[in-house]
Amino acid sequence: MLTLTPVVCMLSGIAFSGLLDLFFKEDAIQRPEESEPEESSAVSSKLYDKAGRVPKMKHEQQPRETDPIGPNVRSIILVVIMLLLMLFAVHCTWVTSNAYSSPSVVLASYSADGSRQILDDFREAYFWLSQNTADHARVMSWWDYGYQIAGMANRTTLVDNNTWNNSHIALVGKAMSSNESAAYEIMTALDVDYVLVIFGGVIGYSGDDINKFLWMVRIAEGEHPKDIRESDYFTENGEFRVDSQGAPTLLNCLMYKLSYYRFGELKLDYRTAAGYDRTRNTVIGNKDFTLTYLEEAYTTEHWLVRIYRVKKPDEFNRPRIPVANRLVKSTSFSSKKNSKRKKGSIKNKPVVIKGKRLSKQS
Amino acid sequence: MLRLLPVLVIISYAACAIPINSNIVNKNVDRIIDLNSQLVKVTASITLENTGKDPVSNVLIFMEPDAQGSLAFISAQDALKEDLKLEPIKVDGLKDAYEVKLRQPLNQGRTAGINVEYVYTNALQPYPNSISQKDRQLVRYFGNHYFYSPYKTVKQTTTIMLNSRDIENYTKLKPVSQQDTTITYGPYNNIEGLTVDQLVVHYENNAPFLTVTRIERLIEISHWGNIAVQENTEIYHSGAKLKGPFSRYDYQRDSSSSHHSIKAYHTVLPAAAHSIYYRDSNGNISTSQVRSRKDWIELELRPRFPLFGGWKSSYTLGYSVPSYQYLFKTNNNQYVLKMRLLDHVFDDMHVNELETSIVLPVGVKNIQLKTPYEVQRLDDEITYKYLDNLGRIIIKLRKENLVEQHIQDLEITYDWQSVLLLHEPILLSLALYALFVFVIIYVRLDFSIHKPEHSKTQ
Repeated sequence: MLTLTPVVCMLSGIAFSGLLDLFFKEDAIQRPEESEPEESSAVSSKLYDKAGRVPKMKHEQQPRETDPIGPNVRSIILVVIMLLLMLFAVHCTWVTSNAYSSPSVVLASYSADGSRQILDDFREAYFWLSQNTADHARVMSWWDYGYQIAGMANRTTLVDNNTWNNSHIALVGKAMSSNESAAYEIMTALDVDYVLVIFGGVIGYSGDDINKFLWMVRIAEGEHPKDIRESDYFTENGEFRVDSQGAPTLLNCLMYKLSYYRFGELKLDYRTAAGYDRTRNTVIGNKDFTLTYLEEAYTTEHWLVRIYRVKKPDEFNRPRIPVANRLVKSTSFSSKKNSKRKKGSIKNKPVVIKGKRLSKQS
Repeated sequence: MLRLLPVLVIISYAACAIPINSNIVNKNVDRIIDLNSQLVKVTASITLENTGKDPVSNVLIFMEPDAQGSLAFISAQDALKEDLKLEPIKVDGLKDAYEVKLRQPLNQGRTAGINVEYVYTNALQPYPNSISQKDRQLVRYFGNHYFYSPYKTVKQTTTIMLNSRDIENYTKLKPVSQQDTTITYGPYNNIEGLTVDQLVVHYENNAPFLTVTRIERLIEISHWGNIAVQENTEIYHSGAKLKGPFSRYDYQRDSSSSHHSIKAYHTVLPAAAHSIYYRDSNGNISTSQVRSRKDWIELELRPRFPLFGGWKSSYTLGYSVPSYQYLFKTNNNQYVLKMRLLDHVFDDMHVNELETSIVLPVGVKNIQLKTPYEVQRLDDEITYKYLDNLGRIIIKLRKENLVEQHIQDLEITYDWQSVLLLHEPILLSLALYALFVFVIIYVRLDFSIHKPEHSKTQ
């Protein structure tokens, strides 16, 4: 469409000019010295080789003198043309505001009653990043969002739209397609603080990261063929699916987990089951899982952008502190469990002694 | 369970610079401490009695030396609700001390009533100071069981108003009673002056703990009939910090209205405001609602994301008002601008830092400034707008720690010639005139080296 537009514009310009030529000639026809420009055109027709341009005979000019189109018709048509052109300006403004300048970061939709609904999730997430993360936080995301994060969130990204080094992109792809613990190694090596994924399953946004995921796998496979194999992410029938039939490697990779974390509990409406993905029109396969190395930092209103914080090593793998070095010392507690009593016991369990009144605690 | 035993501390100030008239006695003090919001609002109705012989015209008001938070506002009124003059004085060991000038001297054996109202900010401390998303926000208030005064108090009661029934704990200095959301202490009789006995209330407070860390208010006057106002606001959730993850799923499921996160708040704009915009560095924020009320415009502002403890956000809000409502001509060439130094941001607001800049029109002279309260005046600046060669003076005012009571008018008087209105059009016409003259001359001159044979091509 975009390439056709100039052509259409040119042609319509010519058409309008021809139309106006026809209806604007009122004065020229009624003037008596009309034959003079006619002569000059005859001269020019001699200069340029134009086929079929013969000076007109007197009897041929006769019907034009009478002017078959009356002045009223001319003015009406002129007004109509002018109105059309003005309407076109209005139309152009509308098109520009709707089709051409409608930014893809703001998703606008129209509900049944004509009111406009704006899904501003991208800007919401990027503004959250810019306000509530450390200034030097590094964000890992697929390269598509690199410039957006740099421009709107003002945070450092690992890869962006102008990353020419394929191994960088492949490393991010590898992190996204590995399982959580393998991804954590890559993320700590890259000093990642936050991970950002785009998830369209709630609103049915088709350009999300799960739909782009095969590319991440392919690019990762290109650089790390030993660790990532594309075939692992397909079912035996060669299908890419996220439901319970899906390949286990896919259902446990980082991208899947980050996209669907706690989505399995979400019921979108009463008709669909919990964890129904609107983009892929299935109920997701792996619903009940927790994250060990990451925690949800922010999810936008329509779940479109999900941001996770990468935990520091001491947050999930807390080393044992010797009792002597502990700041908070617990009271001596010895387990009453032995081989006989496997059941748990309640410490300081109240015992009811019959026939005696419980003395009041002072 | 934490049990806080009341500790009686009597501090006597021997080294007070100002002599305390021991003849004055607080016959009765009714104190209401309002802890409904993030602020501590105290209203004390004091009945003073002069037991001495000499008439008394000044009364001292002291604030506790170890009070939490900072005093943002204080005012005193007499029994007829007329404002009394308060003058800050310096007393050793006290942060805030004031001297109230009574309207009429208090003679021997007579009584007079004064109402003192003051607001403390940052006085409520979230405890625990970090909570997870589904926890309730609990805060602690540290106060004094007794009215802090340099004079002896014969009888006093204190009422504490809370916004929830969930009170974890409060000090129980008898007689004390709790009814629904109010705690009443007292009456206590014959308490010596400057007595401090710590009062602690630990209760649930889910009111928005929203602090405006900085607000830059820019007022631009145009004598063509418009005043443009723009506010750059930085907000911060100063309640208990969010611990652990933020879960959108839990947030969507939790539909209870009382939650410590802040989803939206209301700003009040003048009724004549138009061309309102609400945006931030990423462009227009599409989640705001304008509602016209009879005397004002209510603006529901929703930040891009809900604010949890420790989260911050910033935005720009701007609007225009017609100048005839705020700009008045006093005499020949003198104009008075009466505008709010600080405007409403949200109810029970707390502004850490305010910087108001007023851009005056081109060529003003003889500027006089009258502020409703003491503010710091920064150096004047000069800005250049479109087609401006003279520059406009910017008056910059700064103040810290403000609350709702500071929403008051400021007055700027200046001299200005109305001919200056034509300054820019004349400048523009002159420039265009010069350009056309230049073009006319240029066209008439022949700069060609070689004269063409045909002066006309056709």
